[in-house]
Amino acid sequence: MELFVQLLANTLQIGFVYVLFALGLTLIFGVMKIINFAHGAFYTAAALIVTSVLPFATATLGLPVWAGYALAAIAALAVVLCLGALVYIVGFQHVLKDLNGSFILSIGLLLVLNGAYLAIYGGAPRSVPQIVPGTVSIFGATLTIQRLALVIIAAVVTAGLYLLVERTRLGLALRAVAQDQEAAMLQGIPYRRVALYGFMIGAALAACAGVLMAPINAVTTVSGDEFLIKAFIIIIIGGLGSVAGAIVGGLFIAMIESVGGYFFDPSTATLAMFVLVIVFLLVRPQGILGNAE
Amino acid sequence: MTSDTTILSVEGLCVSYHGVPALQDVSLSIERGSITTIVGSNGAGKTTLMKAIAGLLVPERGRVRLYGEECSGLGAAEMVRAGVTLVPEGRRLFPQMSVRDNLVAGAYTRTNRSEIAADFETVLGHFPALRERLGAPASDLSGGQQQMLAVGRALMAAPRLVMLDEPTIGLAPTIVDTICEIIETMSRNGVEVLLVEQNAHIALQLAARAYVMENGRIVLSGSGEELMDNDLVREAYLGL
Repeated sequence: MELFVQLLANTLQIGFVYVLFALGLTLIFGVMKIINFAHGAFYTAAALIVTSVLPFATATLGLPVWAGYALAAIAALAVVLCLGALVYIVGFQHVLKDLNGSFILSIGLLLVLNGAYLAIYGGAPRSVPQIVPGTVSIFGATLTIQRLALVIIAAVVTAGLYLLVERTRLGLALRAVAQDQEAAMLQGIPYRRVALYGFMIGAALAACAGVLMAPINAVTTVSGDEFLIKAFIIIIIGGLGSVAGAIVGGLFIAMIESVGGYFFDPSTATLAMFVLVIVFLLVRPQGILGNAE
Repeated sequence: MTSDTTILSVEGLCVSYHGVPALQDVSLSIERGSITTIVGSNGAGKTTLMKAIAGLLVPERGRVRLYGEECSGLGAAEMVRAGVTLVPEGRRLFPQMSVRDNLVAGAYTRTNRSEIAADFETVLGHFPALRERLGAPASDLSGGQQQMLAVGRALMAAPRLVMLDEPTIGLAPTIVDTICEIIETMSRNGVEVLLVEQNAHIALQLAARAYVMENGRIVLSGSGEELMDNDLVREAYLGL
């Protein structure tokens, strides 16, 4: 039981971070029909900002750690939203529905941003102090409260996004544009504005993931990039463009990683993921919840 | 040519695809209270004309006026706000969205909830078959139900002019009758209708005014009855 709870907690913790990351990627693909290879840069920016704002808030402003973290989270979200708007206006709005153009643009952007982060922050891994101290014991398994808090916040954000997409007017527009852009325009849905909103929401989700992970893992200037490959695996398995698919896929991949990593070793789990992707691409290329075109 | 009763007028419209002309100097007008139709064979430019009016294509020359006001250059979303909706060829529903969400999407430009709810009921009154399928994805509907949903979705925008591109194509005769009835009902309720049909029998019977298009030009116009008696039309489009 103790082992089961520990593995479940690991799965949920890493899984929900994957979900947040993959949701943004899949949302941007849905409305813009492009793949943003620079998506990890949003995550990295948010995590790096937390590592510099949090010490400043606690040491210079004298705030308690939790308040400093909240301030850092707000700063990180604000900066990433500005960055997102900037790269959309300068770049992405000119390559809507253009796979080649968006590929070149986002790879170039990734190089530029990674270079900028390295110039500003240097190459050494950065870390922040523990935000919420203490542990709890659930069925004999010891879990840090910090990790539990991460799972809860990430789950709430995921649920919020799901409700946004399924229940709101903006969500209706996002779904309509993703399913048939021209038909959406014929209903009076302003396609370009909806694409911008989708892109900004995607960037905000990556920023959330970065803010949540900053206190857990050391942050480097390429932290977000390692999520990109996993996020691709997740949306291939879950179904490209599907919100529910990203959630199911993210938790599924995290389960393989934590369970496989425990019983075998991490490299076997990684291998299993790639084998799984090959199998999916051969047998069910539209993914678990995707729609065959 | 433009008078007080003119809802929409198209003047000297030219559209090309990659340098190949698709519409050449097309002019027509839609008058209040009448169904207008355009007949013509495949590739004559009927769909292009409708897309240009709807704001999906940018014309090279010429203008479109709605109630006398120039609206060429407006995008598709603005045209819907101005009261012009297009039911495109092939229906173009949102396949994974429920019937209800498809209808709600049609009212995207409107904000008055009680009016939207009232129109929702009116549309379901026109198409009772949709009421039982409100929760089903649009892709699960039969072809006839999908066409009803496409027309219903357009009506949810509370349009002043509805353009229908091949609404009866591929449908069973009884469904075609239903669609024709709803087109006449729309017209009686004060919504102007521009109908594009390959089935010239249906189109000319319904329409007060008809245009014949060939190779991107309007070659003939008149009342529906006049054109039904026209030898060229009888031979080319009615197969008589």
